[in-house]
Amino acid sequence: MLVAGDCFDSPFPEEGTILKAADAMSPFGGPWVLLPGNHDPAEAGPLWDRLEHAARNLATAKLDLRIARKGEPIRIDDASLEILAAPLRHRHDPVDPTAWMATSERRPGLVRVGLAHGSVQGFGGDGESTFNRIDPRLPEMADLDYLALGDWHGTLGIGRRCWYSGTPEPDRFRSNEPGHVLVVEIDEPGALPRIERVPTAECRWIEETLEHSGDAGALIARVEAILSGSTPADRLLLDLTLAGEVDIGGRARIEARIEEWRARLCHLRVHDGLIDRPSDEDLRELRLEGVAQAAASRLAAMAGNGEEEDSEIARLALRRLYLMQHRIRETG
Amino acid sequence: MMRLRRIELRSVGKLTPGLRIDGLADGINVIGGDNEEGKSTLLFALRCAFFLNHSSNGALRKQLVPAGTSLTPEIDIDFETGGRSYALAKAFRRDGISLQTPAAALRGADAENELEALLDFGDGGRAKSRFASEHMGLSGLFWIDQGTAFERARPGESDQRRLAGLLAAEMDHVVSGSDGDRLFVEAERQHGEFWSKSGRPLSNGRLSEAEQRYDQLEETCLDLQGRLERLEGKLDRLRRARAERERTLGENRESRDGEKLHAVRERIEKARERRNELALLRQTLRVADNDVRTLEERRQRRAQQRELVQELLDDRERLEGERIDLGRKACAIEEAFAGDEGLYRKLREGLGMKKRRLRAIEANERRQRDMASLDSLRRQRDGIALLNQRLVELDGERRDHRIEDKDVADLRNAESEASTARAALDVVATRLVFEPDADQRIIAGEGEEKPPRQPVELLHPASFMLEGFGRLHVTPGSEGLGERERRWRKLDAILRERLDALGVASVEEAHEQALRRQRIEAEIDRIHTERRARLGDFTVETLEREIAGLQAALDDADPAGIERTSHGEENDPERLRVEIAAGEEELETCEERLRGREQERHSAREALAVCEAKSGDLGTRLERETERLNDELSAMPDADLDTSLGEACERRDGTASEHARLELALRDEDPSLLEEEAAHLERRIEELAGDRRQRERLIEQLATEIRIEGGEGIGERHDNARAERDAAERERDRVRREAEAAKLLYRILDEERRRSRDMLTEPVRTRLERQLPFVIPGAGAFFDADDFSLSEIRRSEQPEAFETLSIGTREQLSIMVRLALAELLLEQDGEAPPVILDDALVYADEERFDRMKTLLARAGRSLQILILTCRPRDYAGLGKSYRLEDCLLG
Repeated sequence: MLVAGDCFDSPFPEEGTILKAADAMSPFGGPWVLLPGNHDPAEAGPLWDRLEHAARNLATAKLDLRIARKGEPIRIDDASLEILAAPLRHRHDPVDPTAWMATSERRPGLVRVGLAHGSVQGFGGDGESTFNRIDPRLPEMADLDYLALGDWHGTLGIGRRCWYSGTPEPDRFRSNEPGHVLVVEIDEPGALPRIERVPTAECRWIEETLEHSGDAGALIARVEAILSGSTPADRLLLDLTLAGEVDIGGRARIEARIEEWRARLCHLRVHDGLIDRPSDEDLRELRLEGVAQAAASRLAAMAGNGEEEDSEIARLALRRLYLMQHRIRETG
Repeated sequence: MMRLRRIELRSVGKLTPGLRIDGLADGINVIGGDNEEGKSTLLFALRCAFFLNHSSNGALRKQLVPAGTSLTPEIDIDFETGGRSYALAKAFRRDGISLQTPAAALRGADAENELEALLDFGDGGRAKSRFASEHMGLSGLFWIDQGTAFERARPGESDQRRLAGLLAAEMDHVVSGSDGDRLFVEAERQHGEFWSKSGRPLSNGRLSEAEQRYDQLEETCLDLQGRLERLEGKLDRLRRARAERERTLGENRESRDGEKLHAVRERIEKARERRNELALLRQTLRVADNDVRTLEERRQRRAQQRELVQELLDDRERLEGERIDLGRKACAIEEAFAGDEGLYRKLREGLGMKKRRLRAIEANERRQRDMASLDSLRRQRDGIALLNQRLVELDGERRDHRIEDKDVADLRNAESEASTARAALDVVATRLVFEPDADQRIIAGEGEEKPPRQPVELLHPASFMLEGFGRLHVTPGSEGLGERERRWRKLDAILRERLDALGVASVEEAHEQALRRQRIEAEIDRIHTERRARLGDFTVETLEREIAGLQAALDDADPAGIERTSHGEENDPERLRVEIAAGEEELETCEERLRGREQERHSAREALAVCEAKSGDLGTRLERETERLNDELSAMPDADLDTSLGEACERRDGTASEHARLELALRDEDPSLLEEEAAHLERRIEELAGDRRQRERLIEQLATEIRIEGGEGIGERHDNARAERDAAERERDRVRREAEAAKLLYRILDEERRRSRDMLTEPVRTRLERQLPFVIPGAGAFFDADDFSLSEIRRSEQPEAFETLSIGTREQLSIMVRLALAELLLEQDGEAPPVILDDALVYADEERFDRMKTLLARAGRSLQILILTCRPRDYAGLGKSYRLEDCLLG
């Protein structure tokens, strides 16, 4: 099992995180080859020592853990496999960590696989970075049967012998097909690899933008449809952006549901871009009289005519008045 | 409208035994009575009848009971309200109430309840110890006690609500209703969740909490970020330290420097050996060089010795010639000297004889002169002795005449003062002039006869016997007589005393003596002048010494000399002096010549001696040097010396060549420079080792720190804290907006509520503004919407608070407000309690009083007004009039 870097998001994780990682790896009986990436570089303190210590002390199983701390071949005897690992020693390594592969002599009879972490030149990545760049011709240059790459969170093929497997579990709302591992089969040295994408994600990260078109019920129904999909709601992470104008009654209904969704979902983040526009119906529904009626009229005027910030405050005040009046009516 | 029709009291306070007022009119009823007659008791009784429970046993009931009695107060009141008539009979005892309504006759609690419902004072309950506004409903506002009319008319809360309800109804305007109130209360509560009453964020409010939470998380975040950065800094340092270690290991500078040091040390060893060898050669060379130099010096000394011997031989020959010449010359000089010496002796003897002769002549002449001088001096001394004797005599005379001119002047002054005093006495003395017709005698008291026609001055009482007349007693009595007499006597005594002291009888005698003394002193001065002239430059002592000296010189003179010269005829002193001068000149010339000869002789002798001495020394030296040369030649002949010198030179040159070669070799291997290089290398190796050890320690330390700190999960905690902080920031912004919204809502509701209340009070204000200028010209009213009271008036656009107005104005305003409210109630509710004024308007001036009466008269058209007053005449013609004394029972 090759992990092409960034096993950990931070070089200084908490102890529980390390233990969880070790525990998660333990069911697999074969060797794990972990490559330090830019988030968990080789010289980033005691991280890898701590992981090895955790692996040694696992009570449930023995973990065959091989951490590629240096740029050198790692021999996997059972598989007649030689891994040429190019770990990042630091977060930003100006030196090409894969450079040594081209000069490494190929051992006969062994499948030769490169393991690296970084952005392929001329492709994707952070773009702005001049560090951790990998030459896309590396498989040919270093006579590799396959080059396993990490850093890109989505699953992506760069060539016939070079792939980003992506993260096995998505960790952000960016939609670039994360949540897979690649099963790579190579029959013999020099043979083309067969690559199979295996979905592994347990959680879904969904970004959704909903435009309110005057019907709060329709908007609520669309969110409910997402929640009732194949993925259980407690494994859904929803990034919900709401836009458009809404009357106070509709706003109250939506807000009531948002709290309910928040309880049901694994995670809910709402970008509330709804603009409150009190409708005649709102005001009628309030059945305000006298002072309250006059105050509501003034707030409605402020909500429609003031500066953006003042308008928002006036809308909120109006919403408060609406809710207060509702409560009073309900409680008699 | 509620109207009172009959009031009857029994056993009530000072109105005992009773009072009945019947037939009260709809409008104004003026009830007059003197002070202490019971007007206030009547008003108190009305309050008790309506608002004090009949079974009450509290302070109010006790106040109602006639003083000093245990009578039960009883009050009957007939009244109308809502167009119906009621008869209330209340005795303040158990079951002492009955209320006759149009429908039924009620008793006890039913009657009280009905009364409460009719008068609408249920909110506050019944009064016990005192009447407050909540105990009396709106009646409390319109029944004004004595001395309280000037207080601000401020309805109680329930009355305010009732008034507000009535006013809202009038305007057909929904103020807020119960929902409105609840909305406002809720808005106020929500506002209070965020803000203080002064509009600042509440310290424990939701906004502050949200801000504090954000600040705390921000602080945590910054702290973790700082720790993370420090940790990453340590990582960076560790990476650099390791890279440095690898680099230094790669460079292998320590080992290379060690090898260099070893090589340098070998070179130093070799250089030291060569340096020793060179030192040895240098010593050998020094010896060889020394040998050559010694031999060369020997050869050189030998040649010099030869030259010296030759020079000495030449000098000896030259000196011998010189000695012979000098001997000849010395002999010639000796001979010339002997001749000149004989001539000199001869001249000197002749000259000596002449000089002796001249001295004898001169001594004789001098003796003659001294003897003459001695005689003259002796005469001079004798004359001076005579003068001295005369001076002694004159001095004795001067001592006998001691009165001087100043003494005479003092006496004359004293005499003048005494005369003046006497003249002053005479002026005031009694002067008697006896002019007898005949020759009668005038006998003074002491028997002295006084001549006639001559004045007699009297200073003291005196008596006179006048012949033919009898005794005359005279007592002088002029002013100041005694004083002037004492002064005269005192001055006269002073004068006498001075005369006695000088030993004279009168001033003239003293003057004579002073003139004599002057003559003596003039003689003394003259003798002194003469004496000084005679002495000249001498003093007596020097004169004596001169005489003694001359005498001694004469005594010492040589008598023989005097004798010889006295007998020689050729001994002319002038001739002798000329001859002596010529002889001395000749002798001097001869002496000069002789000294020249002597010098020549001495020089010749010295030159000869020197030449002989030189010749002797030269001979001795020549012998010595010749002997030394011979010794040298015999020790080493010239040929042997040349051979030795050649061998030594050859040896020295060989050694020098070897030395130069070694020195050249050592120039490139300077041991001191090599030592310097070795020391430098050692220091560098030590520094490199120190750096290496320090770096290793640093690496170890950093690795340990990173291991410890990295194990704390700072990175992950920082990520989590940042996420929490971002969420808290969003929450804070949301809460901030919510807080602003709550504030805005509360403010808008409050403003609308106030505007609404302002509208509510408009009818009252309108009424007041119609009436106010009638009483107080140019005044406008500001009616407080919060408590339905007049808070200020405005005159000439200037606000004047109610409390700052005069008592009279306040009283008038209060009554106007009550009348306006009562009229409003009547118009809107159809009901208004009667207005009762107990001794009101007592502070009004005449004009204001008349205008207030006009207002009361107009109000009396619609309202029942009871005016309790001690000045009923002031209200004459205003309405129905009662006299309290006429209404008393029994």
